[in-house]
Amino acid sequence: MNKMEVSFSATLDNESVTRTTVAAFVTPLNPTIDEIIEIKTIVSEAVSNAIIHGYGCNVECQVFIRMMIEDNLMTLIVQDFGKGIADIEAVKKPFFTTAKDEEHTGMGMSIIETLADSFEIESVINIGTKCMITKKFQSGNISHN
Amino acid sequence: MDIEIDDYYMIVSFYGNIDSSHVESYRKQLDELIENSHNDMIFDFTDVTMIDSSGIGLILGRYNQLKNDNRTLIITGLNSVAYRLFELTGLFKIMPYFRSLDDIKEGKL
Repeated sequence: MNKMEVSFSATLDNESVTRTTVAAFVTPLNPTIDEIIEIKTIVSEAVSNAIIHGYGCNVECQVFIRMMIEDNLMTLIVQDFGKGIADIEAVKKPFFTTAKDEEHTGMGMSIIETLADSFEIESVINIGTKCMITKKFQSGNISHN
Repeated sequence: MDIEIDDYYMIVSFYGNIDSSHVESYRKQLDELIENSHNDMIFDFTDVTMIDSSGIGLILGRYNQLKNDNRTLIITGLNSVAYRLFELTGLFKIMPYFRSLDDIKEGKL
């Protein structure tokens, strides 16, 4: 088991460094190019949700991510202590969005669900939201460390 | 983002990762471009690693803008992960996809 925790200010400028950090963390699993793109996309969706919808881009707030690898399974937890989600089932539905006029597609959650092996959300209004994502990597057992 | 305008198309080539931190500046540049030319538009993603849902929103927004003006948006050069996500979001139901810029010019789907 390998673990890592990172926290960062809730600004979209940190999306790219977070994506790169998670991608670097899974390197020992010898991910395929597609798997790296998949994990980067998952991180983008989950982290931008926390920054935009959780915290309203308030840079004073912190987003927390935890990642773990056990065998070829990666667990990623993205957590914010922001405004929370009123109806998780609604949010998970394709094309659901609270901000239609700003060209949000409402597809972020469906994209995570498609690319991950499991995806769960826990959320309490005004307490925050925790996304738990797992992803299996094909070649995890033949790492050449 | 690189822009090339020929007799028929505005060809926009994107690079790297398209996420929430980039879409605002892309949107401004593209809106200006759409206003200043009457050509159809091509988005080339050959050099793009990752597009998330905000990028897909950006594309849908420009598609609607062009459609209201009876113009077309053509997509090309997606990697296999992005292709799956475009299929998931139903984008190919409304806009044409070509594998490469050359295929567009030769009219091959």
